[in-house]
Amino acid sequence: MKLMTNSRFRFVRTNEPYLLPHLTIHCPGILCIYSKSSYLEKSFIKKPVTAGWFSLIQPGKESLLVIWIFLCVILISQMYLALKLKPPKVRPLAALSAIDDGLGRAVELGKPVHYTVGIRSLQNVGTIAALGLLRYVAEKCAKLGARLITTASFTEIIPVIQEIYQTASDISARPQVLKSEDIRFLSSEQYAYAAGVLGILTREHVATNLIFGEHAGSCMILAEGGFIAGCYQVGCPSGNPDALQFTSAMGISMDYFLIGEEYFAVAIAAEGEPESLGTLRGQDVLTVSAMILICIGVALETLGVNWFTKLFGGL
Amino acid sequence: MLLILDAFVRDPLVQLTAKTLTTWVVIMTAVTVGVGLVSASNTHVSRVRRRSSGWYNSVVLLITMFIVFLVGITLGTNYVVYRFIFDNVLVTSSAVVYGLLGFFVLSATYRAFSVRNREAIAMFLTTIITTLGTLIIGQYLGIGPLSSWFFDVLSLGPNRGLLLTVFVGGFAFMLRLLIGRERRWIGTEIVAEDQT
Repeated sequence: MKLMTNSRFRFVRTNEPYLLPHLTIHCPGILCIYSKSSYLEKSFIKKPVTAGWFSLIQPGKESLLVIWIFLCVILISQMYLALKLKPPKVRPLAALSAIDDGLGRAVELGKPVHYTVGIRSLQNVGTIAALGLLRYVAEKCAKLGARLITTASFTEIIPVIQEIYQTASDISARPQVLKSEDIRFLSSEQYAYAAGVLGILTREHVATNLIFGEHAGSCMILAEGGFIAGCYQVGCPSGNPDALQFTSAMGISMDYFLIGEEYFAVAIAAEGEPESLGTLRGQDVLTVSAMILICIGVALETLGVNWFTKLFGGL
Repeated sequence: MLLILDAFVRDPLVQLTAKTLTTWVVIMTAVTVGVGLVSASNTHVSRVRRRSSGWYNSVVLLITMFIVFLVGITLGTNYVVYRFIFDNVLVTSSAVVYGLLGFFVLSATYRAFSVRNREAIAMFLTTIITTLGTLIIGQYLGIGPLSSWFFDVLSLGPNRGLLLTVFVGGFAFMLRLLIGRERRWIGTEIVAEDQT
């Protein structure tokens, strides 16, 4: 190790990784330039980095990283246990039955089903969950012979929906039911999209309206518009805080309403694989863990102990 | 994984890679606009050809779509014609549909009140208190603090609980995507089914 100093900078050359508290660790042999400061003490430089990788973590994100790892460990372990040992028993999900009822109604009436994947792009997990559920709905529609109209507000989703239609058609008894002209891009602007959906619900005499994916204020227009059009409706506003304020009003308009994580649970359970049931159990474990943490936090804060709250202050 | 690492790690290489990947996403998203244009054109051209009911609306849509598209591409989004269409057609139309939202919420709430059970009474009373609390007359009647308590305690707590469960559900789904257990939406798993 060689130390050089001038008036502005100190130059350090190392052959081993060393921890410098105000910056970061660095690879052996790399010349690093640090601003002149009192940090560069011999005692620090002599200390080889064994636990120094911790300094790579962004300041204030430590507790979030620990929680992130905890969530991953719980979910993956539950999936593994369900796959290798015994899959957990999950009660029949009423939402899936409600979707089946809606599709049956559409077949009986000879009218189409409308499915919305939300107003967000593919980067949103709610949209991807809606697309997973669309696969289930498309397969059922192709099997039962119900026409399925799917609307999207982002162009990048259209090829994915086309692929889902193609896959569902390939494995169904009635491949001609799912037509590419029933995949419709309306608008990326939420109220223009809502107006477009209202038009479809009334013009095409839709029997069942399935509202999934992430929505904002326009979810209420879709739900109440569907009610006025006489549709059987199943859906949820997903996790968007803008849409959550309409939860109660939307619940009135829907025939079956999914709340909170139920939407993701249905999207996962539609697959019916053992490890997907394990994921559901993992979700329950995490929810209970969060409740316990909240109770501990509230109790400690009430008693005047605030280190626990500060621990999660970076979240 | 790189994007997740970028959220936690302050390594320049990871940050640069994550930034590059994000740029790629933006470029790919821009390319897919063409797919949307083709999809919308296909749907509405076939409607016009078949003379389906309301086909003239499709003609208006196609003409407007291509005018805006061509003006935006050739003259830029700050050009006066483009701005005129955007400000006077899109913004005002959106405001009209947004205005409908109030009526839809009102009609849904009215139906809830017309149901004669305890929950409907509780909802009705809550609505009266919170509505009066935001009005001047409510301040005179001393309902303001009660209304605030409804918003800050009774409403906020359950909403946060709801958001928490949504986060847990969303995280579980995201993890399944990350480890490749959620592939139905990309249509890769075709299972032969008995078609008899």
